[in-house]
Amino acid sequence: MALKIQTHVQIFHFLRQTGGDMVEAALTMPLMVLLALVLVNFALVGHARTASQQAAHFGARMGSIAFAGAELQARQSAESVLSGCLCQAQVSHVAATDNPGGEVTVEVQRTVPNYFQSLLSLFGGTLPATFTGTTSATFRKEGW
Amino acid sequence: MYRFVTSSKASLVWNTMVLMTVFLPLASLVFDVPQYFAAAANLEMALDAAAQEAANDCLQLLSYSQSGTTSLDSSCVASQARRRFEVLTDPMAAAGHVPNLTMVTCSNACRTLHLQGATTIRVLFSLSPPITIVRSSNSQVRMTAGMP
Repeated sequence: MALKIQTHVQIFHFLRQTGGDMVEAALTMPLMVLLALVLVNFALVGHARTASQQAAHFGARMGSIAFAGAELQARQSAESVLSGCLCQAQVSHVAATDNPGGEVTVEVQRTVPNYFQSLLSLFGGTLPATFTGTTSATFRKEGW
Repeated sequence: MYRFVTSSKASLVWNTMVLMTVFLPLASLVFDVPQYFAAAANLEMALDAAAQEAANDCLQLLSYSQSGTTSLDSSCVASQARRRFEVLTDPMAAAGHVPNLTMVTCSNACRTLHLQGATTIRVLFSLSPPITIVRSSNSQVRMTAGMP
């Protein structure tokens, strides 16, 4: 009986000592996880932005030097770059002409999910469910 | 002082130090590195397009038809390249960057056009001094039999 009481007292003291730390950790942990998720999510947004820029640039450039079928060439070239991207991006618009002197424009639209939206709502913050953006590149069609 | 720092009362101090030395630079890295690459890519694209357009527009066709040699009109390339560069870097300027076409030269009897551009970017939550990004582009006229 005496041993049981002593054990209960030890547990009480332990909880009393560490309780504050646990409460503190419970309060700060969501904030730290949110911060980490924000960093990873925005790194993904940056990666998607850079990849879509590269795709638009490469597509427009390839379309501008194609002898014929500039639109198809531009689209396929941009999509080939996007195939290596760890993101949701697609060629949203291609405007190209086979006439020399015309313009070849490639637009790439990117979408990155907002992974910290639900956690952010715990702190009263709101952000869109996805981060979207459009990148475009324009080159002059080669030739005279 | 030592007892204060090693006691649990100083946890706020430790947390602040970790935040200042780890999370803030990490956050800056996450935001600034993609911004740096985006600015560099935009600058490169504008230079490429400007060089290509200037080389196309400033070819001396009369000289080519008479002698068969290709060359660019040196008085034309700078204005054409600058015009195109400014159009394509408008969004960059609107975003707070300062893109400049710093050099337009031609070499090899004005057959090759060299463009150099620069823009500035600030990192660490815009606290750092401006960092200059320099990119260049070359364009050379080619005559291809299959060209329409």
